[in-house]
Formats: sequence, structure tokens, C-alpha cells
Amino acid sequence: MKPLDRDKIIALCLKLLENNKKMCKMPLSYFIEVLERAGKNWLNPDYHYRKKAIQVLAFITGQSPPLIEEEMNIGFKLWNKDILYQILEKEIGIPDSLDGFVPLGNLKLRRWPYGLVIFNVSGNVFMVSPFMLAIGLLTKNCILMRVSSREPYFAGYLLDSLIEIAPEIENFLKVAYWKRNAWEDFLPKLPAHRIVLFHLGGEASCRYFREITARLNIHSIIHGPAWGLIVLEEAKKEFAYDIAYDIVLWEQRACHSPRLVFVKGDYQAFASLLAEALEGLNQRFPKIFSEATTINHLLARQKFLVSSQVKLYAPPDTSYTVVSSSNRPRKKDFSHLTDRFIWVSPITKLDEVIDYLEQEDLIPYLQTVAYDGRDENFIRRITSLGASRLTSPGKMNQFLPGASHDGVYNLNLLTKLSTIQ
Amino acid sequence: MIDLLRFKKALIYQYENCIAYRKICTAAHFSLDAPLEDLSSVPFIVNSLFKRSLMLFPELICVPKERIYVWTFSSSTNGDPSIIGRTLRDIRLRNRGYVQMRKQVIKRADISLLFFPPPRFLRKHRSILFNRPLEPFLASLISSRAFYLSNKENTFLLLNPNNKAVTFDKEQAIRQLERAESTGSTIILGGSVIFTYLFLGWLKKKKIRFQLGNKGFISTGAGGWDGKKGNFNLGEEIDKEEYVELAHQVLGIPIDHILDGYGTTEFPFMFYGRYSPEFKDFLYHTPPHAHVIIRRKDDLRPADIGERGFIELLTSEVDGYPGAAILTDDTALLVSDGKDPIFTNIRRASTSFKAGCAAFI
Repeated sequence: MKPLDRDKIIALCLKLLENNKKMCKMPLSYFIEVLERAGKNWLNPDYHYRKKAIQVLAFITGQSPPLIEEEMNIGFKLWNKDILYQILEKEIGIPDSLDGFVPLGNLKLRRWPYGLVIFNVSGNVFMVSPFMLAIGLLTKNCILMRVSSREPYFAGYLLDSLIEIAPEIENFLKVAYWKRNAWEDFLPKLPAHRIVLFHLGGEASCRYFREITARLNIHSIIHGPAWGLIVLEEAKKEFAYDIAYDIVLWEQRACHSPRLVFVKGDYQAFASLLAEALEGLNQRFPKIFSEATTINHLLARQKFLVSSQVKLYAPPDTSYTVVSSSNRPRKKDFSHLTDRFIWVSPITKLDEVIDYLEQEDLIPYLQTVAYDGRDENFIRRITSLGASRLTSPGKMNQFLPGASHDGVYNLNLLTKLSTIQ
Repeated sequence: MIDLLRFKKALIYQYENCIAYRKICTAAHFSLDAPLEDLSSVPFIVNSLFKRSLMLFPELICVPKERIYVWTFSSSTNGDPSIIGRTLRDIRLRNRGYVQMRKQVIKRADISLLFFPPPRFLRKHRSILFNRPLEPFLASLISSRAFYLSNKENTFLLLNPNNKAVTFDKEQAIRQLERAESTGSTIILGGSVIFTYLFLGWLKKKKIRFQLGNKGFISTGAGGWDGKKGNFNLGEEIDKEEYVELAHQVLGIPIDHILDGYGTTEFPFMFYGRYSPEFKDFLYHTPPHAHVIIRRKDDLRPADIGERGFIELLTSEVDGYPGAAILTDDTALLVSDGKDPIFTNIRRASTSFKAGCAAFI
């Protein structure tokens, strides 16, 4: 995809902002209808855009087609009328407030879009694109998706799949690519109060977007970087498969993917069970080996073997690696805990988890925690520290309506409120 | 070619003397009690394990620290060099290996034009680590007279690195090329391929041509084809076919006089490569006391002919560090297997992937 220059990006943004007036007048039900119809298409294994996307994504992301299909099935199930209304109700209270003023006690309330949301699409989880499209449309913001140079295709297929159903929607959505240094050139030329910049990314890119949006007084929604953790009160065999499933999805590259399992009880036996489960899942979702993932596994295995007292549960190839150790990974080790590489450590009491997170300065990155217990004190402590989503093992990839996203509701942040009293 | 008995002896030596290697063998359930029949079954060490940032290099030695003669570091392009503890025997072995490799090209040359910095520049990068010298991998080699194919008066080290840029003495190079051409002396150009390429390109631009014929040789080495070497970045890859054609045109030397060596800091020997018009690349040959396995990225089994894989380097000559089997993060295509495998099309393995919102950096 050819990168757009400054003037073209500005023209595109201004056109979308102009079109937003028309979008505001359209009923919310219209956008929900379009999403539902498109969702049904994408869930159909024979849908032409789905087949095309699987082919392209397998080549670019290094994930196997069965895994991509599983991830699509999970994500597009959310493009369903009932679920979309549930999300709206939970995140903004009264969906009708997006269409007009609605009573709220002694007040009347209306939610307005900002105008244009610019999504900077991250490359680690391709299903962020449908998520972004949905939250943009549900809040009646026009959408400009800036895709990555590495994977510029899927967002385009999504857009085309919507246009196929509702051609006029093209006026509200665009997919484009521009070089990283272009942000500085075009953002100052846009009306700041009508723009939202939505970014999912790593530490350095989040810092960059926080800085530039603060300087230009642009409303921003920035997610990342984050990681997932599992805490087991009981080393039950059935959890091994559930956890392996959470590891395998997104090849463990999502912010909610687990990197570390804390286990009360026989952690070595559990590590062995987890290795067996990963071996089994490799039949269903075969790992596609890349030079990068292979060399990372090999290096990390040897690094941990030499530097820590660890036991490895790993096949001769690099389809997965389970490390079990009474030692725990350091913050700098986390870059290795990806692509089916998991660390299992023992705990005797839950406080050890909190102590570890504090000692390693991992709390700012804490996001999804899978926990099998009911210890209210632990739940209170870990959520107060920043764990924004607690799930059962095996459900880290399941986003129920109303679930927190890094401590916020995106639909709420994408709209402004007006009240009449 | 590698002597299996000698190789096994080296493995036993590094198993017994390096705890880190023993841990790797134990995890791989590798036993040295059984006869060694399959070299691919031998546990390797990943070369990145020697990176300074991991701080494991002090454990990757087979002798007490006091017996380390010198710690050598690589010319890293990302600021994270490998550091290897070498004994005096290792250094002698490395120097001998490199000299032997160069002598496969030509035994003696009347004139040597080398794109190397002067030894005093490399010495400036020396420091002390664990009470022993820490210096660039090639420092002692370049300082050693045995390395040179010409006498001192006729050896010209052309690179002049300073803080801002690397320059080279073009005038001196032209003078010596003219002298070689007019007197019929043998002349060898060598060192960094990046600067050799830049020099040849400059000659072409200035329309300067030589007809050295069979008296001219080029012998470059140790990477740089991706346009990067140390802090220097050419900004583009060097096309090998174009490079060879350029050298042939500008210097008037036969294509089979253009050679390149493959080596890494973690391995004592260099693999010399002759250009193959068929492959449009250099074909790298295995030196004595060494062996190569190209391992597939999928199952890490040895590749078949024509397949790409990680380059693993093996040698029976081990002393200061556990270097008997080193898996590099370079990949190559296997051209022929057997006792002395030949490989080509070397490139650095891709080691990065998009971490996005899961990246802590």
C-alpha cells in the first residue's frame, strides 16, 4: 500500500469529518444491522473475503489457518445484534442516547460522537481491526484506520465486506497507510476537538502518542503495553488444556495472553500436564515456525537453563516450551515469553504473587488475570493494583459485554455528553 | 572435515569443564557414553547466548577466568556484541585458521591493499575485563604479521576511522594498483566488503580502470553484505552479482579470483567462498577441523540439499570456551552435504516480530 502524504491525509480526514454530520443523523440500528449482517458473513467458512483473509493472514502473521479461523470465530461472534446492544448498554447505559435526547431522572441526556476516530492498527492481533470498526460505528464516529505496513490487507477486506452490504457506509470509513513520521505533519492541521486518536501498542509507541496528543490537545485512547497472568489455587488437570488454549490463541502475542502461571501445589507435575496439553493442541492448531520464533525459543531455553534453576518441558523442535522453576522470570525475560513459551512457578500463598509483581515493577503492565479461586482479599488487592479483567482459566480470550478494557469502557470514551435540565 | 574421535574428545572436554554446557546437554538428554555417530544429535550453543546484554559469557568458558588470555568482542551492528573468553591456544588457532583460509586464495602477494583500520585504532578499543584484556575479535589478528601475505612495506591498511565517519585512502590504493599493473606484481585487495564495494564503485564513477588479469585478487570477509558492519550502515544490501561484475570490470581480474570468507566471533575458523555464476553468490567451503550443519527452522533436523536453515558450526578444536557446536542466527542454503558441506546465500535470520500492545519496549 502506497503511503499517503500529509495533504492527502488532511483532505481525507476533513472529508470524513464533513461526512460525520450525515452519519450522526442515521439511526444506531442501521449500523448494528450492518455489523450483524457482515458478522454472519464472516462467520461463514465459505465467505469469499474470509477465505481471502485467511490466506493472506497466514502468510503475514505466521499463524496457521485453523488458528486464524478460531480467532475469527471468536471475534466475529461479537458482531451480533444482541451482543452489540448488551455492550452498548453496559458501556454507555442508554443506547438510544446516541440517536437523540433521552430522559435521565430530571435531565435529558444525549451522547455525541467526536467526529473522527483515527485508529492506529497494531500488528500483533489482527482481530483488533473488527473491534475498532465496531466501536467506531457504534459511537457514530467516522473511522480512519491507519494500517501497518506489514499487514495492510485485513482492514481493507473488512471495509469491503461492509460496503458489500451497505455501499453508502464507504462515506464514513477509510483505510490508509502513512509513514510513522507523518503524524507530526498532519495532526496539527486538524480540528483537535473533533478528533480521537486510538492507539494500541508497545511502551515506546504509547509514549509517543501520549506526548503528541497532549501537546496538540487531542483526545486520545491509548492501550498498552500489557500482559496476562494465571494464578491457580489448585493444580487441576483440566486447567492444563484451558491454559494451553489461552497460550496458543494469538500465538501468545496478545496483551491479554498469559506469560506466567503461578501454581499452589505440585507445579512440576502441572508443568508436565501443560506441556502435554500444548503438544495436543499443536495437532489442532499447528504452529508455523518462523526464523524469529525458532531462534527466540532456542535462545530463551538456553538462557534460562544457564542462568536459572529451571526444568524444561520441550520437544526437540520449538513448537512449545514450558519452563518450570521455583525462580521467577525477571521483567527483562518477558520478551521471550511468547509464541507458546510459558513459565510455571510455585506459590504457597497468594501474597507472593503481589510481592513478585511489585518487586519486578510489573504492575504497570498488569491486565488480564486468570484465577481459579475465590479469595476476596487477593481479588481486591490484585484488581486495586491494576488487573482490569479477572477470568477463569481458559477464558482470557473471551470478552463478555461489559468487560473492562485496560480499566476503561471505550464506547464511553468515544462519546461526549450533553444534558438538558 | 572433522575427525569424529577428536570431536568427541572436545565435547567431553567442554562437558566436563563448562557447567553451562553440561546443563544444556542434560536438558537435551544427551549422553557422551554412547558412540558418536550422528553429529546433528550433539547439543549446540546458540551464538546469541554470548551477547553482552545477557551477561552469561563469564559462565561460557571451559577454563578458570585466570587462564583466559583475552576476551574478544564482535563488531556488533546493534550495540550488543558477543564476548568470548579465549586462551592463548584459541588465539593461535584462530590466527592460524584465518591465515590458512587466506592462503587458499594465494600464498604470497607482492602488494596487499586491505580495508582494515590500523591496529592502533583497534587497540584504542581495548579495555580490561576480569583483569584480562578485552579487545575486538580481529585486533590481535590484524596486529600479527603472519596474517599478511605481503611484506610490511607493501601492506597498506586503508581505513581511517574517526568519530564522524570512516574514510579510506583512495590515492594510496590507486598508486598501488597502478604500480601492480605496470610492474606485473601480484596484488590482493581485501578486508571489509562494504569498503571494497564502495571503492570499486568510486573507481567506476571516476572511469578509472585497471587490467590486473591473473595477478589481481579480492578476498573479503566476515559479513557486511547487508550493508552493515559495526557502526557503519551503507543503507542498502550489496548485490553479489553486481559486485563481482564491478570488480571484474574495474580491476580486470577473473571472476574466480574474487573470494569471500564467512566467519563469526564465536568460531575460530573462516569458511572461504568462491563466486558461482550459476548461484549468483559465493559457495562457502568447509575448512579443516570444522564441519557445518544447516538446520531447518521447523524441526531443526539437518536440511536437504537446496533447503535453507540455520548455520551450525562445529569444530574439534576447543580450549577456552565451549565452541564445539555453535548454532548461529545466520541462515544459508545447503548446496552439497557429505564430509565437507558447501553452503551459499547467507543471510541474517529475521529475529523480530510485531509485539504491539504486548511489547514492553
